[in-house]
Amino acid sequence: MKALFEATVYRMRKSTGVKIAIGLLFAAAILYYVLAAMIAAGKLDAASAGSVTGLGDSMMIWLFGSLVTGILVGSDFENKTIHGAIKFGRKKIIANYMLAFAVAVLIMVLPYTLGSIICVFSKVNMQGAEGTVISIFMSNILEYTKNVFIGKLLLSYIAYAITYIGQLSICIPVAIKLKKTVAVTAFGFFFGMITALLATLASKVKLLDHIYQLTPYHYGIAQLGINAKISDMFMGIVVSLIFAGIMGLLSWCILKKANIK
Amino acid sequence: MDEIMVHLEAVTKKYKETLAVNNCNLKLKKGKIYGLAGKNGAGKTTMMRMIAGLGIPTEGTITLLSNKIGTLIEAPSLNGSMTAKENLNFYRMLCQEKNASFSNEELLELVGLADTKRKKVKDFSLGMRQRLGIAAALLGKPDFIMLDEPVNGLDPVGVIEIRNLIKMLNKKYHMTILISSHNLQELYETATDYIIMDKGIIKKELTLEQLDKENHKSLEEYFLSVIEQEEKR
Repeated sequence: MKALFEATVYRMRKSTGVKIAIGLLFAAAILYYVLAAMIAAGKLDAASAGSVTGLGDSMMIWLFGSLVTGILVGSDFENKTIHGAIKFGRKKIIANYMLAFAVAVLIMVLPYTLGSIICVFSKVNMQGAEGTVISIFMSNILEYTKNVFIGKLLLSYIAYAITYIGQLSICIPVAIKLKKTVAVTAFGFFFGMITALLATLASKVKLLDHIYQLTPYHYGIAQLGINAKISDMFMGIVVSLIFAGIMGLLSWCILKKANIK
Repeated sequence: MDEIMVHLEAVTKKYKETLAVNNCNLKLKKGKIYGLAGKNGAGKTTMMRMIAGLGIPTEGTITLLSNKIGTLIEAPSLNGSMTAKENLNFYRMLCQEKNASFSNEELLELVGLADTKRKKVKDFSLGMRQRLGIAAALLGKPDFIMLDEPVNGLDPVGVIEIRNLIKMLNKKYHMTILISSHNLQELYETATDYIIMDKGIIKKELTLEQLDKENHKSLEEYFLSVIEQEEKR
């Protein structure tokens, strides 16, 4: 399993697509904070806030997260490198995909988390961007005061990163079924865009709303920001991990009987 | 008694209504080079894929003496964005063999790719990819190698080099080798034993000596006579 993981990390490190995706994601995160600070300082028109929000984590992590997941799983099938891994057994292949995927998501959340922490502790005044550039990271910058225990701030980021693992884990079974990087990217980006819409639809039907609350898509600023209850943060972590586990199980069900071309 | 490297017992593979492999029984003895011949759609690749664990038999069982297997099935499994050496590093990690067996330099020398340096695999010709695919299959010094159309895309010199390489691996390292090819003359020159498949069924199994005793000029002629007999039935 260790050998399989090391080989996967090596493959991902050498992938041009992954290098570009991670590079663009870091660039987007830097731009996001710089432009938000410029809006807050009045150096950039508030009308640009929509575009700046587009550079935020929710859009970028879904876009590049699904691309990287597509490369992780899809290119393994497209290049047939999975032929070399099959001797480890299909269960271990899925476990390895899940682990590598989780690490990749954590790396992708990192620039937004670091940006937010830097802004919090360097006391950048973001008040002018309040209500325009919306994200959990921005909310934490705005809401952080000396009264907030630093551990709670970190817990908020950890919970949010794990929630992303849960949310994006839906791309793994899709990637194993479709076996194509482009198709997974398209699915992931589309699904990411409609999660907010799903919440609205779910709120109209009680049963659907209950089900929705048992998914990582329910967890946002209200449940995971620094003003949220710690119990909600833990609930977000638990729900996300269980959801990712279910996606892993579903992936194994798809792969266990699949013929690998 | 000869050790059995691969044992297929009543193996069947069905895709919806199509029987790709039909009730095949086969024993591959250790240390031999098997040539697998058959028309397109005869079930050769399906059988190899099942032995490699890439396909699951609908019925029957496959037993392997060793799990140290090297495969080159259909197209070589390579990362286009890596160099030849990086691809070998990747497979070396999967083989969990960092120091043992062949070094990257030795392998690249063996398959005639020693001078590719920093060239990415996506810029390789079909023949070069094929050679690198064979090199990757040899990592970890496997006990059993399966090569599906290994000389596909190779020039005449390359064909001879790969033939000599296969024979050397068999002789020096006692590797059991299963090769499928449409180039029957090449298969005749390389293998020690032959398996002829048609419509998912193993029609004939014979050794090189038995083939020579059959008074046929070549494997090609023998193959055609087996297929003809089958069509007359």
